Amino acid sequence: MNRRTKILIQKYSLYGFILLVLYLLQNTPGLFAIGQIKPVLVLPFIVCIAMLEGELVGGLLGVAAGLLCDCGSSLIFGVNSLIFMVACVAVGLLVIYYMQPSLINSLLFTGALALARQLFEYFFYYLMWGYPNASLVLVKGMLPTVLYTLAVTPLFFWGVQKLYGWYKHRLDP
Amino acid sequence: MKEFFHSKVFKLFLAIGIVLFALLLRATMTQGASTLFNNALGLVTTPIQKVTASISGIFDRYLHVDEVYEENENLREEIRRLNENQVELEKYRNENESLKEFLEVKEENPDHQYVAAAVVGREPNSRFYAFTIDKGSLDGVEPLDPVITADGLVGRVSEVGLTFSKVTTILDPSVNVGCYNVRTRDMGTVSGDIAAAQEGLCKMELVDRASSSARDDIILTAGSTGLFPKDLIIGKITNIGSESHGKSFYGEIRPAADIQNVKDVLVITSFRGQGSSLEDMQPAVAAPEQEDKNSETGEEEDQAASSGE
Repeated sequence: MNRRTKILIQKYSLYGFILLVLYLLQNTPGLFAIGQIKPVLVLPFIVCIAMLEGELVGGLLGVAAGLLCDCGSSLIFGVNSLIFMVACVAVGLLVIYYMQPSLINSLLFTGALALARQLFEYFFYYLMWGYPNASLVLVKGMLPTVLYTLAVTPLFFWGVQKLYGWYKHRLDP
Repeated sequence: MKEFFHSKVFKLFLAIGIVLFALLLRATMTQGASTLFNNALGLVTTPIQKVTASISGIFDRYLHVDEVYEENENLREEIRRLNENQVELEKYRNENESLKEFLEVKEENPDHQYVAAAVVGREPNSRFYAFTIDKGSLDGVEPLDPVITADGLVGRVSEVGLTFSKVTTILDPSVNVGCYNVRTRDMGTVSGDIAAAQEGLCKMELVDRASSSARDDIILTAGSTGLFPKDLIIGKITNIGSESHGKSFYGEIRPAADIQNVKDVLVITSFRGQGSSLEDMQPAVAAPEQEDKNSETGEEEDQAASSGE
């Protein structure tokens, strides 16, 4: 095994470890909670990785993040994984072909993914069943979660960019 | 972009997508049962979640110790030792109080079989205060088992893994509980209401207009559906109103259990009359399992009766 392969294995293992830690942190009762609203920490992380690493690593990490979220979520198992995978592959391709990996774009992608996931849940789990006052779930639960997730996104963009840059420097000195 | 759709990477993601879709379909058909992956991951994450859940409460305490460290190293050691002791003592005191309360509940309901569990996770995307507990099918927990605290009903188990279970609370609109007013004996149904849930309340529906139900009346489970045992405390009426269609009253109920902040719960894995209504509807499917459960409970009751004699 050459030096480059070792560094790559180390990098991807670290991505996986960070993902697991973020999942555990976001699910810890009361941690980072403002009222009952908590940020989805894994979302900005996988979006930033997809932006910088491309569609393959981003997509695979998206699947991993989705499977983790499926374990704790009330949605049917597999929904988060599918949404995250498609979104991360799309983000990776968009950055390769059309857009720049910038903070604004990370906010845009994270917001779009978080909103798409919440709207999916809102439509299939509340609106379709005709619950009275279903819009309250969207306004008081889902949208604040999206906003809180967006608020922490710059931290992730900065952190992931540093990490990516550090490994890039080690791989191509 | 076009070359992506002809690449191996695209084929890889297409294959993963098909597998995930198959898992999704399977999960749809076997609602309440976790997938193999879910179970495997639960084996890893549940113990870690137990630790992170317990650490979150004592985080501030350790910050304080750090400040003391800057002032005096010797004092820091002393304070840390005392803090650790205090944390331990607090943990034991809370555990002791919970166990005492649970013991009282057990003594009050000898036909119930319980599994004590701790809340280890609350997902950011979970609604109506749903949570994950650290007990699963290996501990005898099954889908739809009622979940309570010493104060009253919390909800029901919605999905079971090997070492964890997901709990849906009574604030969720998908949960319906047959209930009655202990003072007036009026029957009704308690279910989650999206607007009321914002204030931590649920709604008692289908209350007869001739009812004399009033504020502060206590609402108990009726046990009529076979999903919840009879006479579990649900909560107190905080407000009475007329439904928009005008045919019945509704009552807003403040749950007796502190659903938003619950940390320890009891799962009722067996009780008298469990699944009786379902059994009537699905005799071929539900009867054998239920018979086993009932016969176990029955045997224990017989033993208790004979020892009492």
